[in-house]
Amino acid sequence: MSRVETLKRLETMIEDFLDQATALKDERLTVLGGMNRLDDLARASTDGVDVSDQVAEWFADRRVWPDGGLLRESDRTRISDMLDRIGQEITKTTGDSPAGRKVNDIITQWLKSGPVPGDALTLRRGPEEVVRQEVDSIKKFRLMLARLTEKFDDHASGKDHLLSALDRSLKQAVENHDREALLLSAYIIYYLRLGKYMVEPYVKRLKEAEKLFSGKEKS
Amino acid sequence: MLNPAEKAYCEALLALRRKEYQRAAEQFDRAVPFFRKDQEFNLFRETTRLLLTVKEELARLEKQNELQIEEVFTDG
Repeated sequence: MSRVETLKRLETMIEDFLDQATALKDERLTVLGGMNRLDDLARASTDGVDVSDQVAEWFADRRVWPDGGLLRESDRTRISDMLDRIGQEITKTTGDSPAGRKVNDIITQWLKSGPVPGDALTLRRGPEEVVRQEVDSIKKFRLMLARLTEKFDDHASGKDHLLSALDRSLKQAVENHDREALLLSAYIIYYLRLGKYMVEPYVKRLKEAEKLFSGKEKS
Repeated sequence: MLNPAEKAYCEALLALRRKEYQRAAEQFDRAVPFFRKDQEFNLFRETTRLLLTVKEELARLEKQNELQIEEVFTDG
């Protein structure tokens, strides 16, 4: 067997291992992903961004989190802390707007009684099994676009001009070493450039930010 | 709020699920200060690094093969 063949077999073996190891943590990752998203929203709200719509979406996406199934006690505590902070910031940012009030009502309900009951869906957990996920490049790109849209909503919320959203994306790319924020910044710059905007200062900042990401992306 | 290392570990695992290994490795590196002694974290991190090393070596060998093919053509 040639060196290349041996390495290819090793590559497949390691990828399979990682696939199966993450598949076993699938439910946990769903919760962690949700908490991570909520944490992003809490940070944005602390910066004065109105995140009412995004928080409403967050709740809508998680209506099927069963009361006692997926969430650990520590998760509930942390989610409650984040929601509490977001609720306070929404009140400061939006005053007494109907949207802000509505989100605050949902948050209050969570803080009092845990997850908001959605469509009654109670699943009895069977033994954990590994589900292999075939992720092709089109699906990956589509998922990435969905995440960029969420990110853009965060960055553009409360801003008057696309340049302000771009400024926020570039800052996040640098400060959080966020590759997707970098990608989003590049999209916005290209869009503005096609519209004949003067984007040179932003191109310069993008190039500076790119230097922080020295590794090549592989899929 | 999640601390930066926790966010990074979470991002790393989500990146692994999407098969974005380079991004996963970067995020694991950012999570090291907090999870250095966590066995599961170290297993994921080291396995991802090993995979990237294998991929780099494969890319290097394949590039070398391409160069050799070009040389054969150049020599006629």
